[in-house]
Amino acid sequence: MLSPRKVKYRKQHKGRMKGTAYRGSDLNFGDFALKATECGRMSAAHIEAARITINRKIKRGGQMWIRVFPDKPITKKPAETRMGKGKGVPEYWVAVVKPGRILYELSGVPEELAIEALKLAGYKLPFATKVISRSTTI
Amino acid sequence: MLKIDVSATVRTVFGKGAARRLRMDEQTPAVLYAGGADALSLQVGAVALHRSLFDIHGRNAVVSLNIDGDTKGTRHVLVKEIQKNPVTDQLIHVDFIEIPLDKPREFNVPIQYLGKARGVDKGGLLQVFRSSVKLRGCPLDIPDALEVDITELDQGQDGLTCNDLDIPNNVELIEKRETVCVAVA
Repeated sequence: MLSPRKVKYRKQHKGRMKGTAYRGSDLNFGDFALKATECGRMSAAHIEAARITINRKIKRGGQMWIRVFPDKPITKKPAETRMGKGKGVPEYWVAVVKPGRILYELSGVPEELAIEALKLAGYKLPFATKVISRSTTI
Repeated sequence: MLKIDVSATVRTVFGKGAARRLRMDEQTPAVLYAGGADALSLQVGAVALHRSLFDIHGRNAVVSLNIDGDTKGTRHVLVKEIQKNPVTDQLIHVDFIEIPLDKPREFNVPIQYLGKARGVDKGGLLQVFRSSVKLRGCPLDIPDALEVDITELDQGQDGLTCNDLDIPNNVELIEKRETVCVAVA
């Protein structure tokens, strides 16, 4: 699963997800894309699950681009631990996703297959998404 | 090059609130920059503008802008920047830049590779290194796209270079001639 090779600080604050994703909101590489319409956190496991779904649907051929990277560590306290005694240990990595963010791009695949594959990938994610194509955007 | 007509009106209201009211009235705020002269604030019908921008679809296009309330008549412009809502794709603002049609200018022109390379049939991998090239010329002389036939391209050959592109006479290529555009590995 995706994770940073090295980080400066092991733990981060929770943060807030405000506004929309002005960066990374355009189709840049492929012809079809999965776009987030809500904000949320996409863990490395989500990214991998959706990637496998797309690959299983398109079988072979085509090219895929993953446009998000999980660079935020999420900590968790062990079970049955009393509150306090400091912040928990990093458990997994997430990508913070804002509405409008492109998540995956596809090219070299027939239109119906690409749309179906991206739609199935969208079901794996914890926020609402939509499929867009180059022919329907300005 | 593609030519498109768009109608606009001179905008007399400015600021965030006025711009939002315009968008609610299905008008899109726009601005026209005209090298050296003062910029002109415009408003364009959102539906018609959306349709025109969809026709252009990222290609090079000269837009003939008919401005209501302007003394200069029809202006020839390029679409410089489109701002849109990342979720709904609603147009927020458009920048136009006025260009003289008789002065050469640089344009990025896409390359279209036609056919299936012979080397690919033999199991080779088509490697596309350049999907567009920079050309310099008068706007109306610039082609929409440069078409190249790659059916004769075989595995292990040097590949097609910028020199093999069919470039019109009055247009200049601003790339190294020996740059490889496509090859079969």
